[in-house]
Amino acid sequence: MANAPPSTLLDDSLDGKAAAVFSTSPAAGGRMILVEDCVETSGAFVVHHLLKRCLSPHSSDVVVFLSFAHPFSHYDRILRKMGCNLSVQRDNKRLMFLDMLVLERLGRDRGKTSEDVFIALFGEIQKAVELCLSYEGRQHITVIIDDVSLMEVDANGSSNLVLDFLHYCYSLTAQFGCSLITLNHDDVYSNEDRPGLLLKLEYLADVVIKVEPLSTGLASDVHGQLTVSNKGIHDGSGKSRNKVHNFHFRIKDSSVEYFYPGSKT
Amino acid sequence: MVSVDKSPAPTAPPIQPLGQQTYVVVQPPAPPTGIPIQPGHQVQSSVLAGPWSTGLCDCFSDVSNCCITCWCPCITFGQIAEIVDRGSTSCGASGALYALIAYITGCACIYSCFYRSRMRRQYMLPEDPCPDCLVELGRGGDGDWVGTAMTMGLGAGEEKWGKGVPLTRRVGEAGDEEGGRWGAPATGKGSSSVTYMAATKPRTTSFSRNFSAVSSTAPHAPGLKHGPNGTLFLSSGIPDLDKILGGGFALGSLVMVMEDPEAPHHMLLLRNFMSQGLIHHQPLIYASSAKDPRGFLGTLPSPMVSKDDKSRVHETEQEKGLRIAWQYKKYFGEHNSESQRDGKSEYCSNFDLRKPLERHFFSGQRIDCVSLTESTDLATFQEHCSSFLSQTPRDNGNIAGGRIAIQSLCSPQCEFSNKEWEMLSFIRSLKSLVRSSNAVSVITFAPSLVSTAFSKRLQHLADTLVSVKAIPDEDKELAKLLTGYQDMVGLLSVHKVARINTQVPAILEATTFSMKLQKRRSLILECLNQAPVDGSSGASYASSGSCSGSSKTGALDF
Repeated sequence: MANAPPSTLLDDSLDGKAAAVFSTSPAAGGRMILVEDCVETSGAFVVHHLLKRCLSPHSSDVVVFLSFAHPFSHYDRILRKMGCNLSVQRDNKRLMFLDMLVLERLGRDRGKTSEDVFIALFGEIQKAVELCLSYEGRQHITVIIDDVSLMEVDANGSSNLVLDFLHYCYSLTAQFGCSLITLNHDDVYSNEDRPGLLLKLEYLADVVIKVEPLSTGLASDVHGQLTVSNKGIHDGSGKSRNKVHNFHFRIKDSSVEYFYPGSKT
Repeated sequence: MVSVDKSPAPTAPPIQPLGQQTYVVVQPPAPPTGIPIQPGHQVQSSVLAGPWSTGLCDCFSDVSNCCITCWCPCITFGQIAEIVDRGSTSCGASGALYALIAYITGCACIYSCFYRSRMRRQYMLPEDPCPDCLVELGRGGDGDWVGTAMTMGLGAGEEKWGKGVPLTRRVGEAGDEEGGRWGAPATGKGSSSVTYMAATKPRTTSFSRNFSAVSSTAPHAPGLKHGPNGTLFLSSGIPDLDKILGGGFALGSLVMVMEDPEAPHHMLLLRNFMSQGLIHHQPLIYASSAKDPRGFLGTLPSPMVSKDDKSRVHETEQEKGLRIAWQYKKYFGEHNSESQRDGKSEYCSNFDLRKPLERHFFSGQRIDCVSLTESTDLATFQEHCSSFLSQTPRDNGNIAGGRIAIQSLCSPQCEFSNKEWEMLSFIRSLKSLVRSSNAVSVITFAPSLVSTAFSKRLQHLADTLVSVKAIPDEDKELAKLLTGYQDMVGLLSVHKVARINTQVPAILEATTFSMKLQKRRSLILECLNQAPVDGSSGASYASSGSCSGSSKTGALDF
């Protein structure tokens, strides 16, 4: 494609209307995006959208995808309908897919503790990042984690372990300028009395995308609403401000439509 | 393409089809009582022959009606009254009342005039050719009331109201001798209905998906059928649930059922699921916290035989007429299911809950029953499952589909019930096991027994999530709100439908269904229908929770 794909409301809210491409300048990289969803409305489509953007022909990003939820075939089929061939990208070394559902990867069968497993996992990611940066022309790496609540299951409930791991990943963003995209479920944590994992993640994140159902209930042409809080928008005069966007979406196989409430005809 | 008739009623525009069925949605015009309509099956409202199908003086169009009305107007009046009152007053009672009034006062026309007005109001028929009262006077109360209201696409199907009187109405036919005429519904006859499209092929476009090619290239066992996005379905054992979920349970999915501790309805789902698996010779594992889970196998239902042939024959006779059906949504599924049943009678059987499954279904099958109280942790059970499923023989490389049924996972009798993370880890690995070995797992748990966070995690893990709820007996408010309340045994809500290989969510027309036992034998799921409200008290609709999506208030989601 010669031209960049038309930017959607979601892209605009992420980039601050500056550029359609995720990583045109180093300042745009090094961000952490947190996607929150709930049982009624799944936020997986946001992850798919961001994945597709990272793997678009315009950017030379590399993606490291940690999947705790679905096997590769699931994402492959979905992204293929959206116009992105994951198998080819994997072969071209632009996508590194770590399927955490497979037991051997976790080393569970070898009797390792969760801590060891996570340490090993982080080691792999770091290696991949350094390797990719050594290629010329590849500046930007994105680590996508789907999703954090299942990572807690692997950590046997130890949220400290999960937080440590995410902190380490976050340090990568500062050190190497990578981006981190994570998906979590906020209704799991809603009943906690003390500040939990979710709050800490929200604090770390630069952009929080919340996916919720419509307050009026189910509808077939509007599947829910998105609230994007972007903490780090620099508007040129050196000041950074927090911008909140809210719009509705409708999910289709090939794309997702984003529109302001009430403007869908 | 059928043109969409956008009526001013605030209903949603046509939705994209799910799964293999191609629905073309046309909005029917709203009935005058203001019940919100969801676009469902297609209904074509092309033929609107005019508000009244026959004029005031078309006496000989329907001779039988004419005779009845002439000599015994009370009968006809009774039938009309029953229609207008939607079954709340019986035909006999109204007829007797009419006769009594006629005898005493000789002016029964006033009474029938009243009913004529009500019917006109209900079916939006004009006051034509002359005002109601005059028409009534003309003959002592006849008039063609029903007219072509039925061509407004209110659907066809056998309607049994109240006393069980089947009512059909022929389009354009009614009869009388002099003055006016009762368009009374004639029973048991009728010309073919023009407007009900579901009886014909459900496709009106020239584009059609090439189903035959797909199904013929990949041979598979009779218990499986193809679904969208390259998935395979197996049946849940309940035909209505299969329809609701768009074909059945997707292979490789995890189904979770949230129990209600007050009622054992989840057992109904489990029993049908397991029986269906045995009938299709699919390997089955059953686990529960009972000491001897084998005993549960004795309660599995047997499929119903040959009785439904009788009802089908009976129905095809009645099919020809145009029926008045004010609960028209009930009948949308009928024709589809009948046509499907011939070809796919093997996929999902109707189970007779009173008859236990015959012995011969158990022999030679791979059935495993595990008691969850045997071991202190779930690791052994998990290994058991994986070894069981890996032994599944593949004949000719076909996928057989396995079934895992786990009842009451979080029940306190199990020693691991307080080890939440262990259970989560088990379910996670079970999910990946089921994905890789093309099986379906149904797990029931009671959300009230576990913490909210844990329950939410389980709900997120599930691919398909349903919950069952008990219905309190003698709940006056519910009885007023719903029709058929006395027959209901429980409510089933569908919260999530498995979306494997796709990101598009499944938006169902309705998420809450009533569970009923038809003839105390088979489980059917029906959409909830609001009870009819008198035209005078229309205000109640606004408050009756029809569109509020928040399930936290406990309002029923229509």
